[in-house]
Amino acid sequence: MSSSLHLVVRSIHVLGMAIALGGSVLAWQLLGSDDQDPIPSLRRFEWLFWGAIGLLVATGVGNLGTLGPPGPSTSWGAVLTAKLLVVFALVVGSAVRSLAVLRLQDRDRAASDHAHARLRTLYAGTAWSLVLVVALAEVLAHG
Amino acid sequence: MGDSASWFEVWVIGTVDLATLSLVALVSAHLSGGLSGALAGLGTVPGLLLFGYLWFLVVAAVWWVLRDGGLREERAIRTLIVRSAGGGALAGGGLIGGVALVAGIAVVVTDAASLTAVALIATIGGVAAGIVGAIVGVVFAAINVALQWVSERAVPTAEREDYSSSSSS
Repeated sequence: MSSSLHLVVRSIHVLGMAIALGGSVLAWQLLGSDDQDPIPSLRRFEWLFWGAIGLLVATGVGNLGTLGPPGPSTSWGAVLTAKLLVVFALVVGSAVRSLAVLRLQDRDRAASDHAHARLRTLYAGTAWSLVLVVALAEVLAHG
Repeated sequence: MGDSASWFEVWVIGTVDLATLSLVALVSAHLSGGLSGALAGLGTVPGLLLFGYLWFLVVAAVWWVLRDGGLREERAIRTLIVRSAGGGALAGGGLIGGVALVAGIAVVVTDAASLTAVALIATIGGVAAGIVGAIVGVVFAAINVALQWVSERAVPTAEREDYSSSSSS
């Protein structure tokens, strides 16, 4: 792959992570304030989040193809295994969270404080999981 | 499906299914030691185009499965299974059919005599991919229903809280 194409793929990968992580932190903080109904903003973010996840998976595979994946029995291979498993857990957990945002959006009445508190916990979990993914990616990138 | 909430559900579930399927394939290939070889045979641009095409197919299949209502709608489990099998078969067949069409055009342009062989391979591959896709579709229907079940308990809505409190009193 040419270096310019590789740069584009890596840039999309980094931007995708910036959207997912930055948006998760914002959503986490938004649910902690009482200023406005957060559900419409959360719903807009969820559209972006899943677009970013799709791009992250696609460009992540592209990066692996360019750099060459480590063998599964090596220490770098173990880090890659850990990263993939964390991303898998992140996707499953985020699906649970997004389906909750969908249900709350469908209600005519405002969601309860209890539901907001649960959602806030899920967004915090998403943000910390993404931080862990970034840390594992840095280990893979720099050895 | 006219309301935006339904499109939101299709987008989320379609992308969840795609990401889950991709990650299971990646982890399996990595742990078996075959990831390097699999990626070496696929260029970056064709790989990204293939992923984008698969993303489109999965979202379209989920739209087809959920076109009369989302996962929360009450419907016979048999209907969901049949539709999921059909959606998965269309996505699997569409994936192999699309790849075979592109590859077939490239082959036939250079060697017109191979048209019959290309058509035969594409047909057999498409049918096989359709069968595998149907099985995968049913598996993901079960996963999606399970995720919805977990979500309803992780974040109870006001109606569910009302029901729980009235049931316990």
